[in-house]
Amino acid sequence: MTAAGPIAFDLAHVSVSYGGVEVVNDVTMTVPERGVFAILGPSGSGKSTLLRTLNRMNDLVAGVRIGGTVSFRGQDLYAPEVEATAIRQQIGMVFQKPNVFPSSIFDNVAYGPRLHHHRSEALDDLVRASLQRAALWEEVRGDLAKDARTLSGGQQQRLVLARCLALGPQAILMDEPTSALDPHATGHIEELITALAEDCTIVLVTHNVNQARRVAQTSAVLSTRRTEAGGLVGELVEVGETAQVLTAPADARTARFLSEYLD
Amino acid sequence: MNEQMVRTGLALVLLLAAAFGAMVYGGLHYRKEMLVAAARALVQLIAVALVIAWIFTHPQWAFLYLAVMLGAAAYTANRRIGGDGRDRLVVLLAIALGASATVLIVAVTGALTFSAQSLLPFTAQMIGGAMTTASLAGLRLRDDVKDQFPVFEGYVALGATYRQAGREFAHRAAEKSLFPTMDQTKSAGLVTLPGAFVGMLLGGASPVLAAQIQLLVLIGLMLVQTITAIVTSRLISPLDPHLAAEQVAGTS
Repeated sequence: MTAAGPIAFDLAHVSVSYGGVEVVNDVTMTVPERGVFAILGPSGSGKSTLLRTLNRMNDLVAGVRIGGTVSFRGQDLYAPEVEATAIRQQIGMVFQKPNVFPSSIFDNVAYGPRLHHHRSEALDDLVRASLQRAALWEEVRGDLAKDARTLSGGQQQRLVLARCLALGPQAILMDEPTSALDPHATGHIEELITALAEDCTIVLVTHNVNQARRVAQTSAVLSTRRTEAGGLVGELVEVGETAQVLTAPADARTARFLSEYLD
Repeated sequence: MNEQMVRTGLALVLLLAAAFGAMVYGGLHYRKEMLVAAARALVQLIAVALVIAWIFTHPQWAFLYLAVMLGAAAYTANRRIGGDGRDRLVVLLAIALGASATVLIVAVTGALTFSAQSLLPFTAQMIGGAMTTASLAGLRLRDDVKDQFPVFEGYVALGATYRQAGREFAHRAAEKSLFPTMDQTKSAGLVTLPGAFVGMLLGGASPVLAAQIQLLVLIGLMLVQTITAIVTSRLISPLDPHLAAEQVAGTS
């Protein structure tokens, strides 16, 4: 369905329901290895919900049901023998609002490695390398013991990114990571996304079409449909190369989304 | 039935009638509930008095009594938290650990004589205090996790189990669950006369002895509740099992 080459995520007929109410219906698509894959769509179209099926974060919701199959590098993420905690170490996540931990900058980055019994003598190096990759090292190198909550919003979001890079993830899911940031901080994060995508698969949920155009090679557009029961359910409209999907969409719903959401 | 019982009964009837009359005069509802509560207290206290009187003459059964009480305390605390079967075991362990440590110190030092008469009511009071703390600690933990759900998700997204993530919130929950006891202990004798103290004075004990026993109870509660709070908050499941989709950030 998308560009040929190695596949990171493979979704087949994925549907998600909470307490019997379907919110995502029958999504089939593949996410290529490396590069940035954007998921766009209006509010309520299930972008975040779909993203959270990729690292099993939806498991936290009582009464959630995932239909279809989601696999990562050929491994069914929902197979009975698969541990969700192991999946989340390989597939990192950056959230809409920076959710730094109430501890020092160092401890934020060290949390994951410590939890998974990383050798402590190499921890300093790992923390530094992670902060460097997240382009935060130069700003905080003298302040590693400082409370992470004193950082600016943009710095906090880069810290959250460093925290997830410390585990050496193979993919990173980003849920509207710049929606709470100013344009300058947003630019900073977008540069990082582009740099990280050289050797990592990034799935980016955004409702900013221009952001997708700037950073994503592949884009998927979701839309809402009214069900017979009267609720709204999200479904995939089209997926393909960003240049194609976001300039000359094949589907009228994408065209309507673009006209409504372009700044 | 002796004369004292008759006088007590008369006083109870008058007290209840006056309270009922005051409610009617003030136009307050829940009169029936008050009567039911009074009736329950009557039946329960008479029953427990008979059981304890029997245990004082058959002290080998004290352990069974305490085991039943422990089970009931764990069940009640866990029901308030809304936990599952595993959580109930956690609460049971937390209360049992705290109560054992406290009673051990009091018994070994000889502060209370090693007899059913003194240890049974003391242990029961410790279990009761621990029950309150266990449910508070569990509720605080779940509230804190719910209030700061994005941070909780941050831990989970790094591969933490729910319990590992919950442990990051456990300190605060344990501390919060101990505030009521600390307040109560601080104000003892100043703002309020605590129960054991009043009871012993009414029973004819000297104020000095009453103060000693009350101190054992208050400081004992500090230990039992601290242990219970730490164990409960660290081991109980931090997720409200009824966590709805809209409480999870960004489910759009």
